[in-house]
Amino acid sequence: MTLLRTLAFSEFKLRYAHSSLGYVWTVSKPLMLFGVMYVVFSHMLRFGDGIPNYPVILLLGIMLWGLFAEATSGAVTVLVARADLLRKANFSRSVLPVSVVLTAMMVFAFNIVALFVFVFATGAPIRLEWLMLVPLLLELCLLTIGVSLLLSGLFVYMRDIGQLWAVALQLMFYATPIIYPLELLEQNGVSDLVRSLLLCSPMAQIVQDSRWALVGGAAQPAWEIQGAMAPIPYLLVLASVLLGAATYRHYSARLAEHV
Amino acid sequence: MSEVVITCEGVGKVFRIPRADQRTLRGRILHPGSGTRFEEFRAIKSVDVEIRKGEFFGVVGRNGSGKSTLLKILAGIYKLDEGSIEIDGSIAPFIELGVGFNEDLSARDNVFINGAILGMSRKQVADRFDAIVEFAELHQFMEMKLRNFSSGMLMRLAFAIAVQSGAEILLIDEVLAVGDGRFQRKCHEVFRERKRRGETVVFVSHDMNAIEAFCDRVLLLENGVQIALGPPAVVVPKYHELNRPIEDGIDGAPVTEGSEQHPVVIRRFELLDEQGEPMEAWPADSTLGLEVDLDSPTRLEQAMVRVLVTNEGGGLVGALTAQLNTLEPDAPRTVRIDAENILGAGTYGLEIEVHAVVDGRPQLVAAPRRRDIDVDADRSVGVARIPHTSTVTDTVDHELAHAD
Repeated sequence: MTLLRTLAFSEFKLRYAHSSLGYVWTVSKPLMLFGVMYVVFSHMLRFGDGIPNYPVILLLGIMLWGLFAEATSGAVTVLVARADLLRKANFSRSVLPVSVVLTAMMVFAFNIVALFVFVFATGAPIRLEWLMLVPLLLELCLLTIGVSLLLSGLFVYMRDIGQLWAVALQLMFYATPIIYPLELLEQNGVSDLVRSLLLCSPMAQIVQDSRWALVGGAAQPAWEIQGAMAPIPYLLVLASVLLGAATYRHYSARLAEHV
Repeated sequence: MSEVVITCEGVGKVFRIPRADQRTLRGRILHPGSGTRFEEFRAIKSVDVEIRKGEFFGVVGRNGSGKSTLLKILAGIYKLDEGSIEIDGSIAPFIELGVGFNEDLSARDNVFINGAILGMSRKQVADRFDAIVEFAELHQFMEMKLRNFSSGMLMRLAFAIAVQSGAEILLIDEVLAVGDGRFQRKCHEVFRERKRRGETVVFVSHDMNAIEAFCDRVLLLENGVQIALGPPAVVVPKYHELNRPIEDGIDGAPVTEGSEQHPVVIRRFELLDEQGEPMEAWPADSTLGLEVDLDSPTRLEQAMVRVLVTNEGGGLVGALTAQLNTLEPDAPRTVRIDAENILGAGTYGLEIEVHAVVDGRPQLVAAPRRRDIDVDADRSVGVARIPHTSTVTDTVDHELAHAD
């Protein structure tokens, strides 16, 4: 535990050590991305028309996605990048990918504060449903840890995973209702079945449910849309954690020889 | 005899190296079912040792002989493939000092990172922090980034943390070469203290002086096989034996033709006294004339003749060098080196090497040749008779002198 915490903190400290704005970047990066997307998708493509709180939803989605994407893409290569540690010291190997996730969570913690400042600034009401964000964030962390463990272990034996995952992340980004609200699909005649299938992805379900919890409005939680398919995203989260753990159980004894 | 803390029985390690690069999808798809084709490399074969409590145990061998692999197995970094290892007591989970040091962070941060990797909790590191700083003598530098540390400071810090890690059995791979004399003495002190407390050190090194100075027993590995185990006095000479270069042309037998690897031919290698007569023994304080005739079939840049002087144990005493600059084809050169004798009594090896820069890097361009010579010197101790003077006077009382 000490090692996990120490590695994550030092990585966090290092990341902003050389920039003059320092920790301000943790929040500025998603805000700037948000700025660009807001102009493009709200003012130019008009995705947000008729959707209350579209800017809040967009920022929320970007931040949730940011945690997942940053952590998993960092975790893919971490074992190989820190091969020196693996070859020279004996410690629980899963500490490395999990510390990457922990660093991303620290960045996310800053983001959450910025998000709520934004929520209050836009005058959205305080809701009891905000409490639902806690289990949703927990679910996101579990998913991220599971996927990170799985990818980092596989990468040592199949280096293509790095490239594949970069493409997969792009695909998943567009398959997740971040820049487009789910209602937009409904308005454009996309069937309930297709929307339910989209929500089978845990990221889609987490983003959609978080949106519902944060601002409500026209947003329906995933389970209302999916009906009988509702358990699938949760089962996938569970599967990712189990697969990640199994990967480490299988590989960890010999990782130092193969990195 | 004290109790055994590490028991290795028939310890072996096999590395399976994928035959082609099968770490890509392409490889997997093009050669389905070939995922299990490996080349096996046996890094260690049936090592049997018992290491006792409080022992300073050395592991020596040439590069690639399996020393580090053995250490990594003991540390649990590598999985054991054959045999069994029993460890009684806490063993260090690391084999090198300063693992995980990050030069962009302060020394303070690095103490906590390294400490965590060595298995210490945050509280343990915090409790021992002062002791670490004290030992490393780096009080005023703890907030400085490691980037700005000298290698000696780095090593002091790393060693200080390792000593405080609390492991009863320390594993150290090649470290004690750095640090100034004062710090080296401090390390010696630490090792003596550890010994008194019954703590064990397993130590890998190429530095035979360090091995002889510290180790109670030494294990010699060659190609992963245990070939000697015993006190340094017995094992170190065997190590030197393995390191002897292949000595063609020994005792002055002429080599008449160069090879592809060693194009330069040493036609003559003579040791002459001041009268120009061949010399078998080198009297104290006399001048030795060393003459070498060289012949090169190709042009060689930055050629240099170097004569390594070694003692009976094979330890390097010093070197004599002569720069030739460019060697032209079919232009034989004669090199003469005159050396003063300041050596202690004993038999010394004179090993002649010819170096030149080939393809951008310095290489041996002639098959090495070797001559032995006896040095006869009265009342000498050690390898050198250091030129010195001495005076004796009455002692001045400094305190009285200051009181004036």
